[in-house]
Amino acid sequence: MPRAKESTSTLLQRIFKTTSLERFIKRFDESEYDTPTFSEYISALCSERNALPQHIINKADIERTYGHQLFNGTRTPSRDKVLQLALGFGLSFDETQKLLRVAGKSALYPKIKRDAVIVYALNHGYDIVAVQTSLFDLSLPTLGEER
Amino acid sequence: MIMSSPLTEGFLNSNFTEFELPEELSNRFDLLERIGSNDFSSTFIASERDTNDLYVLKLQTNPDVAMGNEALLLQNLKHKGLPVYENPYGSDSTHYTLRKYIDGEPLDVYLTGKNYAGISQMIDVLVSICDILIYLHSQPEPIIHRDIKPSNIIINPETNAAILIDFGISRKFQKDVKKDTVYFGTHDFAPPEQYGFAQTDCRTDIYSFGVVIRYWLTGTANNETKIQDNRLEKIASKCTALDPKSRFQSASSLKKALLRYKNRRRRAATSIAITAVAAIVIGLSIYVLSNIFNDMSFLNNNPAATESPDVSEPPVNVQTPIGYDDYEFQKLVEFFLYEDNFSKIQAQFEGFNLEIPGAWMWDRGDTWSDDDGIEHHTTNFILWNNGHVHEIFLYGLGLTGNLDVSGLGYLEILDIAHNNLTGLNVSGCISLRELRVGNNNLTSLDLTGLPALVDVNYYWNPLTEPVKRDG
Repeated sequence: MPRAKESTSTLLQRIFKTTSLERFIKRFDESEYDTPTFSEYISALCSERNALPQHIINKADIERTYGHQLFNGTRTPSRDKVLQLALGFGLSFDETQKLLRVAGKSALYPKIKRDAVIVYALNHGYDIVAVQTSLFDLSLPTLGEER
Repeated sequence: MIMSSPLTEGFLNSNFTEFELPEELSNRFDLLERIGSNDFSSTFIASERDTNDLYVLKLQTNPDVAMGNEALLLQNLKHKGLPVYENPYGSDSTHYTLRKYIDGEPLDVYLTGKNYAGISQMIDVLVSICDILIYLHSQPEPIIHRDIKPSNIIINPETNAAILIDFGISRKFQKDVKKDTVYFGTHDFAPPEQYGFAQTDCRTDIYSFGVVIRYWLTGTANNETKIQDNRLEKIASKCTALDPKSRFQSASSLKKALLRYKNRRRRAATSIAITAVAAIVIGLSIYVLSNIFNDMSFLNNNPAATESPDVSEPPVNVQTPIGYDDYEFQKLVEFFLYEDNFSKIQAQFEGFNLEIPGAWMWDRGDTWSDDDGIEHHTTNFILWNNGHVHEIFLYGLGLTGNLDVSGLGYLEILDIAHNNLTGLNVSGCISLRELRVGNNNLTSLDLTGLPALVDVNYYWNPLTEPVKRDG
């Protein structure tokens, strides 16, 4: 494993407080999987929050079919889609970093303007529409923009 | 700028400090994400404002490695398995290297995904990495990557093509230097000499490559964990021998070992089928041999159609060299089995100039010695049964021109990777299940009307248009 990743995970361990999700991950650590798959993780998040995937997909502004494919594991998300889901779930900054980690994506880095806007939005409870508007205002690529 | 949204205003009033970039870069790019960092380097994905193209931007501050090394090292190299770099930016203290983003997943991520590759694709990927190493190591001043590990191998999940990235600690091999002065590398993947016992050379990369094989098959870089497949275990542990002299001495000998493994594996899988047809083949060739001596003219004639050979009953009425009188096989005028088990047949045909219409030629494959010093030939073969072609393996033979196998309705496997083919026609191959055409010169590929196709790779072809597929 690359050094960079080691230091990231050390950092994450330092940042994250124990939650029921931590226990959830731990359960997977003890089983045959190293970490839960992304689809398992978001499905568990749904049941923990008593939310329907459909509802989260709507709030994440993700196309319906695509969203369900993320939930049933037939598609792996891009980093932007993970961030959209984080906004859809209304996750905190820490929880979002964790979600990114489970998805194997790089963490939010607050010295990057675009990431910083998202961090600010997560910390202040803004939704996807507000984030997209703000990114657009600041002439930054919006989430999920075609590349 | 009009700031309407509360989020935008809130954000702008927060104490945000942006990562500092030189003006020429910050004017051109938006940073999107930081994909890696350590004490002396940070790597970002950046989006070019004018084009929306993605780039990877890496800045290094360590004076020992930060000579714009990566870009300078690679600027004169051109290989489809290497990233394309722009000229480096930078000052004395910090260097920025910039390359186009490569679409794909690092091997470590790829292996955790759903698109887990089978052994045969794995060998293809590994062979393609060997090809990159052969290229790097064969430079006038050989370039040693020195940090081969899963996260530096990018796989395009669509095509299975491998691209080697991160030449941050690579160096040119200097003949007269005994030891490296700066030690870098990634623990687990770096050989002993990289910790300063000797100068690193191309066998350093061979070592790391061996660890990658182990990692791929066992999920760990620890060489205490044995690979279940003995032959692959042998290859991996030979790569990772502590003494560089005991390793494969070059990437090309490693590549040969991998191809050999693949062929043997294939042979094992098909040996039953081969045994079934062997009797016919031998029977036919004896018949053919007598024909050859009686009448050489068939070489210029089109084979006349006669009844199909029957598995249970060796045919006697075959007029063509090897009995491929099935209409589906008409496009091939002649072929031979090039397989060490059938060395007798091969010997009988030696000396004939074997050509297949459509202007492709083959050489005689690759001769190699096994661990006991016995010589073998690369196993490439065409498997047919009841007059139908089922499998074609013509792998790494330097084939050129167009290959037309259209209408071979029973063809299930076509493996023609690592040749120089410029065209391929597989229309009507309705049973085709596996197709491997990686590392050829195809500019287009039409895979429509192939309902059985489940396993395909076409990496490393200079495709000028998207591959056509149904649905």
